[in-house]
Amino acid sequence: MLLKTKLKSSDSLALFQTLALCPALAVTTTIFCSLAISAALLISIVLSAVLVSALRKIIPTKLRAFVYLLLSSFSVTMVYLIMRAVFPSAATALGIYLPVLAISCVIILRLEIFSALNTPGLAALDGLITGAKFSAVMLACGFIRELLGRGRLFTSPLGEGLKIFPAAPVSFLAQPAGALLLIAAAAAAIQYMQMRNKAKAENPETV
Amino acid sequence: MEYILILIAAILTDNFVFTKFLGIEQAFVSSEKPLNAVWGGGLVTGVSVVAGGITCLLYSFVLEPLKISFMTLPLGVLIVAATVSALEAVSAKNNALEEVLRCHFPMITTNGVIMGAVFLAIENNLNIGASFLLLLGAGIGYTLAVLVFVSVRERLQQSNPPAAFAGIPIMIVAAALAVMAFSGFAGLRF
Repeated sequence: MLLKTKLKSSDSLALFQTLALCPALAVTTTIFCSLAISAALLISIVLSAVLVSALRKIIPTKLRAFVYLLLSSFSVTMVYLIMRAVFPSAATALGIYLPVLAISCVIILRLEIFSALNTPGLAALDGLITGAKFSAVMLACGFIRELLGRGRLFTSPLGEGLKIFPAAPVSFLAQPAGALLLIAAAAAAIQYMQMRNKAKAENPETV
Repeated sequence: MEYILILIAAILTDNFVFTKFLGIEQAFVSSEKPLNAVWGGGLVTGVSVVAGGITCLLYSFVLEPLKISFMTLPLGVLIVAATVSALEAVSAKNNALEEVLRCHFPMITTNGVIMGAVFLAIENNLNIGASFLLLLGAGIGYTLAVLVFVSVRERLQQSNPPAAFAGIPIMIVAAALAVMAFSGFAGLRF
């Protein structure tokens, strides 16, 4: 109801899911920030998936969009409070991106497509897999952006980290647009591999 | 003067879509015609000012004095969703209006621009007037971003990119270029 009605073609859905990652990508300037946002995403997606699937039989159909939003924002609030108490520096580094996770399409789409129809165990597994996928992308992005954009590794509010290069080799990557270009390059690489595999499968002799 | 600066910053220099990537997915896929895109942007601006404004008022007059400010997120999300449903019910009575707006309603509740602006206002301890201006600027900035993306998509449909870049990758590259273009506003000083 929230998103499915609007997104009929699969191409648009794939684009939507890729771009849904973007708010989180904006903070992946260092490995520390990537780790913090990945942990927050992973925990809140599993928590809200379990809650939604446990309550799926008593959620009124007409109000289900409201209930999904409420449950996901409660999970994110819990994560936010715990993070602020245990790792205050991580919560400050994430700023407004942590609360905004609650209405991120990554979580809401999973809740609607999968958790609302399956048992809590399956929903938790699905949330874990989805969260792990997005976390892997964010960690890779954080690693590349910190290494090439700043010439350092493992910088955090606690310490300066390791200095790998004397100066930042590609300082452009530290900027927001750098994250988008990185994702575009990755998507193009995946598409190229798929095309090559398909061509190989069709006429194995020539390739 | 300070208030004008907040508005201009939210629209151009600190545009939510281009510098913070909030709501970028909606801005990109929301519509295919410029006029329709402006309607969608206007809708987001309206919801942002009304629902975001109510959330900011509730935060500073109810939640903060009672020391339950952690409730801002669930409450804000619900207020945005309720405003969208109310608008949907109102527009259902007018056929012409419903025709234009129908495709925009499902996307507003998950639009990060509104909650992002609310939390930015709270984080910077803005007063009520400044918060309203920030919310208004966030909505106008989103409209601007939607217009940019609609035009980019229109142009991309007639272009002929390398096969590996066709489809999604070239769109993200185009978005990155738009983001870079907007970073030029960062030099804006008064």
